[in-house]
Amino acid sequence: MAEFTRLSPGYTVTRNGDSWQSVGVQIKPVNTALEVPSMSIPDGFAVTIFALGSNSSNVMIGPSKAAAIDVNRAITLQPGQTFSLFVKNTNCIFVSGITVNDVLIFISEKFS
Amino acid sequence: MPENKDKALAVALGLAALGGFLLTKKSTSASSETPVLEEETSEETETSEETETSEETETETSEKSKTTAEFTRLNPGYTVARNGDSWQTVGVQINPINTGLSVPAMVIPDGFSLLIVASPNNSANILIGYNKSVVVDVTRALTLQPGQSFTMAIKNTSLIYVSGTSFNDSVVFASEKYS
Repeated sequence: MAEFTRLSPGYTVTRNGDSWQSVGVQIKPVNTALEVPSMSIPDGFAVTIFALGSNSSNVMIGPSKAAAIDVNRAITLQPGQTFSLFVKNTNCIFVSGITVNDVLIFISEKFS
Repeated sequence: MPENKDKALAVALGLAALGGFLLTKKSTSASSETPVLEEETSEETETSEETETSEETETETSEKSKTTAEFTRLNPGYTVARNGDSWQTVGVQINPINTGLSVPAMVIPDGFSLLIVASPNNSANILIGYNKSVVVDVTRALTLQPGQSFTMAIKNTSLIYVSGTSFNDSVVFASEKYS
C-alpha cells in the first residue's frame, strides 16, 4: 500500500476484502415479499444479487415488501441475471417470485 | 556524689540531644531524597496510567472498528465510501406510447449511481433521453432492450425522460440512499 501511494500520488485505492460471504433465499411461498436474512456489508463493498441460472421464472427485488411485489417498482431478474447494491445490510432487500424454490444468492466481500 | 550524678545526667542529656540531632538530620536528609523517590514513583504511576489509557483506547477501538474514521486510522492510505442504509426505486410505465414521459423525482445521494433497468417482460425497446425531444429520437436516445440496464451518476431521476412503443412496458430506476 505504501508503495502504491508513493508511486501513484493523488490516487486512492480501496482496501480489498480479506474474505467473502453469502446468504441465500428460496422463493417460498410464491407471490409473497420475503425479507432477505441479515448480512452486514462493509462500507465500500456492494452486495451482488444473483438469480440462479437454474431458476424457472423471473424474481423481483424491492426496497420494501410492497415494492417487491409491484412490477412497476421492483427490479426483475431473469434466471442468471445479477445486479449490485451498495447497502449496509441485506435485510433492507425484499424478494418475491412466482415459482417455488427458485433461489437468489447475495454475495459480498468482507473483512475477517 | 550528687555533683557527679548531675554531671552524668548532663552528659546523658547531651548525648541524647546529639542523638536526636543526628536522627533529625538523618531523617531530614532522608526526606530530601524522598522527593526523588516520589518523582520516580509518580513517573511509574503516570506510566501505568498511560498503559491503562491505551488499554481503554484499544477497547474503544474494537467498539468503533466499523466506523469510517476508524477504518481510515487503521488503514492509512486507503479510502472507503459509506454504503447506503437502504435503497429506493421508482418506475415508469409506457402510457401513452411514442411520447416523452418524465420520470418521478428521486434524489440520488452523491457517490451513488442510478441504475436504470428495462423490465425483461417488456415487449419492445425503451428509449432513454435527457429531454422530451431527444427521448423520441432514435438517433439521440439510448435504447434499452427488454432486461437491459445501465447506470448513471446523476443527482435526480427528474433529469431523465423515457418513451416506448409498447403500452405498459416498464422501466425501473433504483439507487442506494441514506435513511
